[in-house]
Amino acid sequence: MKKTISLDVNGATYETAAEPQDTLLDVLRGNLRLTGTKKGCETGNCGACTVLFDGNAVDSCLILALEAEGHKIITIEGLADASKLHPLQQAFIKYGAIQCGYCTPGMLLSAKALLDRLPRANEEDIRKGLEGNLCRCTGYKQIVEAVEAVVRGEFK
Amino acid sequence: MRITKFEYLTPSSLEEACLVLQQHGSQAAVLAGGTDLLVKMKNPRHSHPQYVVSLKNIQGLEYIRRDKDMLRIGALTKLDAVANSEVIKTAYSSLAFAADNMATPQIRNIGTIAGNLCNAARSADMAPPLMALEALLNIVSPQGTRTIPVDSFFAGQGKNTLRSGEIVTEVVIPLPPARFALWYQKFSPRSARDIAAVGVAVALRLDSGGKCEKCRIFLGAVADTPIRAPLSEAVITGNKIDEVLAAAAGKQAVSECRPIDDNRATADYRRHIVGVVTKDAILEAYRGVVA
Repeated sequence: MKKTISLDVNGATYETAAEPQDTLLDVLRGNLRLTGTKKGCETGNCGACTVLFDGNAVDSCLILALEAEGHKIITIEGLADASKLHPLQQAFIKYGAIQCGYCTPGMLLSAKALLDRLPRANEEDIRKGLEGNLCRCTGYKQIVEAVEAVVRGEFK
Repeated sequence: MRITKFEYLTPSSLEEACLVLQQHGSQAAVLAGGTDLLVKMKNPRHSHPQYVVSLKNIQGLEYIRRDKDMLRIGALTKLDAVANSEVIKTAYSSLAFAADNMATPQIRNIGTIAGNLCNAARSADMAPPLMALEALLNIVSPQGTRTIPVDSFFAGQGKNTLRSGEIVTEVVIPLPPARFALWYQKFSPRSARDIAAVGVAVALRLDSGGKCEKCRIFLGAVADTPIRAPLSEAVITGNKIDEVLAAAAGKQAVSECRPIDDNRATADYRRHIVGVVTKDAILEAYRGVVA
């Protein structure tokens, strides 16, 4: 049976109806039409569905929507502010860290969670922090370089 | 990939949760982090619960604290918190390492320590180190509370010894005595953070003369459940540890494991690796004491 839930996504409150078996990913994409969050393996291996959950990177395919009530969720749509792209987004563009782009929203959010925790992250930290995100184009080198550039303060 | 319909229940106390679980018996599943449960519920080859009992409204099950000579970890403590806890890193850096090298950051941010044990995968990374440390589980049910050693909690692949209506509330680990060290080593052919193909935990205590006074060795992912390797322990106990002795103990461990073939490794390869990793883990634990 559908239940009405209230979700805090990108600073806004959304009232929506969800079935118990709907995942947070289903509701973000289907109900809220926030389709920047991608559906990949659906089993917690690929990280395409990564969102921030109270500031931490999580797989939205492995969280029931009903469990997400009361938590602060940030999706890729909430990363940039109104006037400009987030430094990580600027860096991904500049460093060519995007090929097909399917992993990019998840990569960016994992990178943000990492840098919020470890602003001086080194290459090893970055590789470990992005370990839960697979890039099928295998463009990892540019992705790591882009995050390193943000650590160096190249983008504001 | 759809999840079969179920009824979602959110008890607000442990007492209520236990009663609900008892009422629905084998048709109910506990939802903690959900990183294993949801994957199973998406798999059409798995049996699916009709009732999912969420613990999200139950307060006070997420903590790590020192309490006299014990380390107490709340059942809902996230793996990420175990990995980064200064208290745990100080007492048993190898236990923090085991948590830090499980799965992915996304999974560690949702998955819980008790969930990893209750899911009872043969490869559960929290199991061998906790078993080697003689950790205990506190369990509640409508009948009261009981405490059991982690090493008697696993009943088979995916099966634990919880009875209907029971919930794990806390993991309790004795703090290290003098001249003691734990080492957990995990091997996977893909990457260190993949599901373990072999995991070995060694807990060692040396006597004042530097000989092994006590030793507990547990092997993960090479039998239906994590298992103890008593013959391997016997090789070490009472003796001065060196390369040769550690290699002999590794050889014994090979004879004690009962691995299967799967997509991560063949049984033969696992047996070979058990010998190597057990030897290395014994030497690392030894260095951990003498260093």
